[in-house]
Amino acid sequence: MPSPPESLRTANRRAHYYLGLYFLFFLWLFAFTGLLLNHSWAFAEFWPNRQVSKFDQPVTNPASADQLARAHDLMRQLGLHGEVEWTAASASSPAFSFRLVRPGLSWQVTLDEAATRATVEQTQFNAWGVLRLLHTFTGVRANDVRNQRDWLPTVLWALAMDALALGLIAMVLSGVYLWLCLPAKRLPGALALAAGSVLCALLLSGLRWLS
Amino acid sequence: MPGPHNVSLRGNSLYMQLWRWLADATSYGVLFLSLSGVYLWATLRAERRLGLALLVAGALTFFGLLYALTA
Repeated sequence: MPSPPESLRTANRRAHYYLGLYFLFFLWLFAFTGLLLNHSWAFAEFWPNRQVSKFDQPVTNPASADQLARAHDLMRQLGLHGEVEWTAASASSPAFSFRLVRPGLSWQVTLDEAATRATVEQTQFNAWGVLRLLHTFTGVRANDVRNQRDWLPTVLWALAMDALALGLIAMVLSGVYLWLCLPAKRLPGALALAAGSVLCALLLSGLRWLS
Repeated sequence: MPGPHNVSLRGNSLYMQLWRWLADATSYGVLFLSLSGVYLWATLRAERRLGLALLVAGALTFFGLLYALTA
């Protein structure tokens, strides 16, 4: 029968392995797309390679007074799915207009109520564009109460990001515990931890996050 | 604005350049740590079954979400 510290060590090691294995693909996605966002590699260009197309089709004017309900009504009629985004352009437009976004695709939808027609401008991005957007796709913006998550996949993606963040924190803590259980590695580990902490603190103060 | 997003427009201060370097180091570090972690796990026979189940569960969650977002 293992002693309590031994069983705790085993449980901690297993939790470390299992969390890492479950989140492996998420970790790889964010590490790789972090590199993409940090550089302007020519092979990963997506904006100049976007494909823009336009179409319009007759629709029934949405009856609801609620903006989001109107947008959903139009999306249903047009066969579009994605996260509704209210932009500054759509707010200033005299016509009912909104943007619809999903990784790799965006649509600008404008309703001409007098003609009962909707005009849709579709922008399609390549795989690099999909990858980059996955890194930043949250469905919400800071200080913007109008844009809320209204598409189930966005909600699930945001929940997965929360789970990943909590999983990473747990993995770091379990990793620290694993390190502390190895007396021979304590000094070099402490030096690495101190060096990383000092560098991070310097950058945080330099970037004025703490001011 | 914190973070390395659109750094080609903003990476003109020393701290931003250092941050950019650190972000790169973090990304490469995470890739290396995850690969070495998978190797360490694969050498432990006793942990393989449950580990593999969780790896598959994670892959299903990840690719399922990816499909829902993009398909």
